[in-house]
Amino acid sequence: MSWIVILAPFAGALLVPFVARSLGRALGLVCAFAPAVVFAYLFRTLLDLHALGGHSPARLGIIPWAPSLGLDLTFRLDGLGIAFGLLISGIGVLICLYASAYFRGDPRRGRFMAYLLFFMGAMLGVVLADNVFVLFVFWELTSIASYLLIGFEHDQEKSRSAALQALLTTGAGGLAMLAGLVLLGNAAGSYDLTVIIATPGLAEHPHYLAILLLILAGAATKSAQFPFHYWLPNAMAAPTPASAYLHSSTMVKGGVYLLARLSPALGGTELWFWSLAGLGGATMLAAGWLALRQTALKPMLAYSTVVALGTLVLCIGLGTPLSITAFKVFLFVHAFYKAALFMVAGSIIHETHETDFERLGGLGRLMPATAIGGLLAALSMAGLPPLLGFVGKESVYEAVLYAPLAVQVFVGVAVFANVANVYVAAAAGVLPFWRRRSAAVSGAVHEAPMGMWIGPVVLGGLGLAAGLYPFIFGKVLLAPGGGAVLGEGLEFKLKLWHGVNSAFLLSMLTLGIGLAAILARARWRRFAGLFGWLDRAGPEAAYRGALEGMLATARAQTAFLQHGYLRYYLLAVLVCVIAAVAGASQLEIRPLAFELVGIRFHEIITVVLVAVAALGTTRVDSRFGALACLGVVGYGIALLYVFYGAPDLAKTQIVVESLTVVFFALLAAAMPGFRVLSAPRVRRRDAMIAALAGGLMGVLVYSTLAVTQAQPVAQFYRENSYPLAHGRNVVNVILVDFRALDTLGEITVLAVAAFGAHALLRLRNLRRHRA
Amino acid sequence: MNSILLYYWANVLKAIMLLLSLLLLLRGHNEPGGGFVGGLVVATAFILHALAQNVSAARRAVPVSPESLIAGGLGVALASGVAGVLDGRPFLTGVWRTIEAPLLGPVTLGTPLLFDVGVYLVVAGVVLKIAFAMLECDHAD
Repeated sequence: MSWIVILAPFAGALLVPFVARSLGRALGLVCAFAPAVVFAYLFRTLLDLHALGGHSPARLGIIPWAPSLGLDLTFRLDGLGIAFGLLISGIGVLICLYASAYFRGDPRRGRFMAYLLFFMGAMLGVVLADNVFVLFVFWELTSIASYLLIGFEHDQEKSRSAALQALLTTGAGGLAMLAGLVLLGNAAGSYDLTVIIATPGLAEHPHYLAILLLILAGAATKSAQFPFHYWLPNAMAAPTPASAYLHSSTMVKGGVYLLARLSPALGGTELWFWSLAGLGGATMLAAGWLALRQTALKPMLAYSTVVALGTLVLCIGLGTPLSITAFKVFLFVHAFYKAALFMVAGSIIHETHETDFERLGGLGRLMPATAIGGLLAALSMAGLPPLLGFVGKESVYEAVLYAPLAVQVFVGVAVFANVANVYVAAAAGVLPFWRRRSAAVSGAVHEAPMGMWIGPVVLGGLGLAAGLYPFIFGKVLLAPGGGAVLGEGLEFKLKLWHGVNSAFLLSMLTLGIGLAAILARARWRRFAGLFGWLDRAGPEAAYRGALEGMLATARAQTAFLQHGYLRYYLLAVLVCVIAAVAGASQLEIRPLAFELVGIRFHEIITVVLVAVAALGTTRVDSRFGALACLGVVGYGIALLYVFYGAPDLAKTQIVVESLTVVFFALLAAAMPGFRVLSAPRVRRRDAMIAALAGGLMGVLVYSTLAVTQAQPVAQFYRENSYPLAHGRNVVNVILVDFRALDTLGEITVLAVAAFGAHALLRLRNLRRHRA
Repeated sequence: MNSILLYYWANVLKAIMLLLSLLLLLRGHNEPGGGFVGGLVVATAFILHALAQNVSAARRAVPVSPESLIAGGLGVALASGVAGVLDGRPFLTGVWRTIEAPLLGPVTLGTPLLFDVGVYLVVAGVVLKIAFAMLECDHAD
């Protein structure tokens, strides 16, 4: 039952809101427990994997979900999934502590922690799922979780629109991806990733192009690749703990994960190389450019995240052993420093209420612990030895230097991206702390609570430790995962120092340009400001245009169709149904052969009564009269059910009929009396439509009697109801057992309808009070 | 409505209807009845209460709010489905256990009954929520 561990964050998310208030300060520790358990479990599995030589991943928790569709909840633990899982849960622990301190005293704290844990669980599901549909479900759950987190400050328009933007963008991509996954599953003959990865020759499949493009659409929107990069910086509307988590180890890495996961199946072709490397390269350029123009801390870090995501996609696209090494190293490098820097930025803003790095300074003495964490992270981000960032940057350079094609292009792109990294690192992690105190920083600023600085310090320290002992780091954490990406064993021999070679020279060059840029930043920004028109024509403008166009279309068709006259709705619905059903079934009107034998007197009386009452409905000129007539029709039909041995239906019909009368009476009492009765012409039209609708139903019912099925479905239910479901009432057994999922859907619809009706009635009352 | 007779008989009827609804619910699996019609009867009972006295009295008479009934019902129905999963079978598969009940002897209980209870609660909650909202509407014109 070890799969339960994977679902631990969901359990936490369900419980937290109820205990948040009574826990107080301990909340962070309690929340951190769920990811800590996951982390410990995954780490142990990783060690087991090493004992097995890095092969044969564990498959666990095969829970049948809809076995007839080949859909099972299966999870798979291999090096790649574990590497992502460790990041998600490990950084998750620190984020829980951070968030709890960040929201201290805020009444919404419990809710925020619940969303955060929900997010964590969804993300773990994505990286550990083995069935593609299970993966898709978790994938969409991360979108929903991020919607809740980004829109957390929901009283602000900016947060709401940013949340919607993220949801629409990643959701649209997700749907494309679903189509791609279905095609992929069909091509491979299985929906299990384990099988798909092991299927040879997928690249020759006729659907290969479609599969690749559709999946790429999902991955690119999720991982904010160009031209979908716009949503990620806007997602900064989320509270800082959420952005720190979102950027470092969750959601946005989902797309990168998927590409890495599928690269053994889909990679190795020229198309793969050009589309991924091209996408990654374009993203690095666009985001690097945008990052270099920022002065606000969080957007700057956000754009640099997009740069990193582009780098990761580029590395996967290159597809060489060197580039996969670079991918794995840089994945960890980035997660460590980005989570730390976001937490640091959050602490700074929390303490000083200042977001612009140009106005910050001298915080080193006031917030020493935060400053140390920030410095370590920034040095790693800038790629200075002996931190892990240096190892990461060298591997990326080596990967592009030995790329099979178009070396010059990718080397140039990589240098540009790293210059942006150096710049952002200096601006976000060094300058606010280590220069003269500025006027914006008052003396009242003091160190953030421990929960808020422990994360950056731990992550910064990890970056230093892993940089000093890269060999151990590579062997333990990266080796099993690399094989999963490349499809074969991959040696990880990371070294901190490997002599003065071209990669090292490129590093020096990057550092030089980056430092020059930060020193001459005022002049640089004036130059960059000349290109402001690019923003207005960018992809975000396209997104806004598409959204507005859709809303305008919706408004236009609503104005046309939802005119607010109930009787016209009814007319339209009835006419459409008559046309559709009569057209589709092409009814053969057979000679109706009534057998009058066996029809009893009381049945005839009832039928006549119903018919008279139905006619009466159209003749009376008060609402209550019509209501009474309708009641007679309803109860008469219930009687017919009784005569023909359907007590269940009869019972329900009687109760529903009574309630309908009550509801109608309540509504009718609220309405003004008839002022004008409808004109004779209108009445004739209505009568005709009513007669057509009724006649159609009658003919349909009659003709179903003539249909003979080879195996009547009723037979199955009658025979299996008792042996399979222990019930003698077949109707009820169908409702609660054979078709329970339908019933569940129906009661959900009922619930939604109730809230809708409530809202409408409230609106009516509100309008009246205002008037 | 101000009527002593209605006031009195509504109370009696309500009690009978609530009992009847429980009966319908419990025997539903083998005899005519079930959660849907049971839930409707519950709602009707309280609507009668509301008509005989007033909405706030009826609201007070329902032990929990209609919203909680809806949410609780959906929760119970979902939970009954999870029982099958914990048993290692697909979601919503019926799980049956026979237990020795005191006085009654062996009783076979299954998650479909639990599911029906969920339907019962949701239906009652939905109808009550709409009915109360309608009754509370201003009728001034």
